[in-house]
Amino acid sequence: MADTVVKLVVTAEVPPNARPSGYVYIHDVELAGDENLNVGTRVEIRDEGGCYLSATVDDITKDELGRRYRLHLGA
Amino acid sequence: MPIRVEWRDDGHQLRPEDPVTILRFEVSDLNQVMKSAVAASPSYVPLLEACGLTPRDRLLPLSCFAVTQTWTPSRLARTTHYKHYRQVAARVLLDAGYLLIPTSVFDDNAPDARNEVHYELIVISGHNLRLGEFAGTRPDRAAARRRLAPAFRAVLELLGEPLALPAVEP
Repeated sequence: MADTVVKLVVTAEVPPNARPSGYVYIHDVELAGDENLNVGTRVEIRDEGGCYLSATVDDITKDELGRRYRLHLGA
Repeated sequence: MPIRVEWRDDGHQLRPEDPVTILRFEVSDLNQVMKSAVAASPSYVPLLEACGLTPRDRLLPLSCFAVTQTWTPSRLARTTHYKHYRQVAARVLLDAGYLLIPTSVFDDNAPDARNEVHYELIVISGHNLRLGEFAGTRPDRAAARRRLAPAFRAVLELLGEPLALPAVEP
């Protein structure tokens, strides 16, 4: 039996500096709430133009509203 | 470090006598617009006092730009994938009671190249926005979006209908 592959898609505006720097940030409040992102989780970012970029969560910080995830593009 | 925002004293400034046009890139999903504003809100805590607000208050910003002869819509869109934008005279927003503040945005400490014409349009502010509900359960989040949607719809309506971006300059 074939494995099921689940693609986790997050929507985010990608700032101009993010593409060359290779990092995009996304916050808990921008998610549906049940993604359970952890360091190493692979996601697909759907950007402001509907283009998809592959990324991996590589750091998690917290602020007053919850967790903020740093996504490494192309990783 | 994620996004950092500073009050901007340089570059383009709004003056009452100037016919300034304010541009906002279009994100068609209203939920996404609201969620992005909420996610950005903690970055604006250092600016609350300058905005005439108290430390208990929070604000929800929309990133905008002044259109100038050199900062055309297509140049502002360079290195992004936006396809549409809205624009309106700054006076329309100010007369409706919205706050437009000049800001510089830094992404991982790197300044946005468009900072000299960057503004935040403050959709709503106050101490009872209950932004924590945006990090709650799915029903909590949906209820929070329904609660704040009218404020966002009102400001987007003032910004006008979305216009197609011309071909992006190389």
